Amino acid sequence: MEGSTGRPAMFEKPKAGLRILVMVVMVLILGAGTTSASARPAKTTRTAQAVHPATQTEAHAHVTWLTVTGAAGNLWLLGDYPCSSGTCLAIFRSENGGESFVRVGVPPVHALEPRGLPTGSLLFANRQDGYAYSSDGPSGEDSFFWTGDGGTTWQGVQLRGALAAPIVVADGRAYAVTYKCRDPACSSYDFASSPVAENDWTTTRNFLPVETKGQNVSLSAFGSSVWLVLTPQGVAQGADCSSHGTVGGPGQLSRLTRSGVCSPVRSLRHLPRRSGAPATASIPARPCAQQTAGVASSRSRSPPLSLILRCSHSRTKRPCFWIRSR
Amino acid sequence: MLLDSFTLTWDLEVTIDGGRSFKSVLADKDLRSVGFATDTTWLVLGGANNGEASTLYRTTNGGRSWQFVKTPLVTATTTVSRAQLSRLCGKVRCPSMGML
Repeated sequence: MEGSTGRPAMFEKPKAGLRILVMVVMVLILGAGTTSASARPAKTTRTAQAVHPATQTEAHAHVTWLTVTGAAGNLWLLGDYPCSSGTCLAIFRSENGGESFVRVGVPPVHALEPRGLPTGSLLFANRQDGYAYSSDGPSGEDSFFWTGDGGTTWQGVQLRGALAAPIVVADGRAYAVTYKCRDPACSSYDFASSPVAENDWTTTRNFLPVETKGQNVSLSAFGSSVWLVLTPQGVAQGADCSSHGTVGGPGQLSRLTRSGVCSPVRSLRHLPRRSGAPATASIPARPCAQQTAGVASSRSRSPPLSLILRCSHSRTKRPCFWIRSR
Repeated sequence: MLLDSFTLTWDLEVTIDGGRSFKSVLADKDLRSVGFATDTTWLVLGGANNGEASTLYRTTNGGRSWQFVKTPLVTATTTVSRAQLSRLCGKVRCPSMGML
């Protein structure tokens, strides 16, 4: 339906239009306060109640989902959303493969962004025992929490230094590598572990030197083994997979014992992507075009796959090759 | 199963022969993380970079087929003062002002 000017009729009624505008502004203000650049204002199904001197409004918040994780037949979903105190966390658990979710408790922080960490921020070892964490880097404060009751309650985990890599869980224990930097030097890496059923961490201090600030650390777990990868953070912009020598020196791959002792792993298999027989190589058999090697664990119990490193093309982000332990 | 990242853009690739070959699943989607409930039931979070909405995918057969997952809703309670409402509604009478 259009008015005499050819515009929609609503523009012929300024008061009604202004009312709508005011309501839209109210909704925008109610959803304000987010610290996430990608967050949108809260919207949908707003229901206002008369409360003096203020009005409480309920809305379905726009949640920025941060990560998912799984263990022992369960899945968890972590997100944050704008709320009256700025940003609030939400954790959901699914016991039926993602068909439905129930909300569980959250750690007493407003954000768990994986700043400085390539991934992580939520990890469960089983249905009850799990971890939520974030890192502000070597000079900042970490947020690191443990739950032993499926997320109903959370306790703070106190470690010396910042998390250098996402924590991992192997054989009923959680493992973490931390470090501290105070310009211009960084301290050595510490190695900490705790039974997943307790918040009882033991730390091996200075188990490995920090050689450079840009050093990249990855932890991975498979079965009862924990693996540590140290690689220099040499990024060769524009390099491709066939370029050699464009990225910094070799890295180290070690198998960690529970007490933090490193056993260097020297025998690896080089797996050209989608090509023939693998060849034996050390790290790096070829320089990584993009940052460093990363670590991924197979959850499959079938041997021989136990650990994979992968290098990636810097521009296309496609993988160049993998190296796996023998 | 292989999932790793170097530039915050993730790929999910599956191997069933001990790493000799890999098959991409959910190709060309910006993936952020994956959760493994069992060997065959996974949940993958995609999107949400550059302000995009998050997308959840689930598989119950080890990545052979995928379904969208409806993300759970979060109900947030926000308090707005009467002064704020008055400022907002000063020029035009709000439909709800009579409730205050």
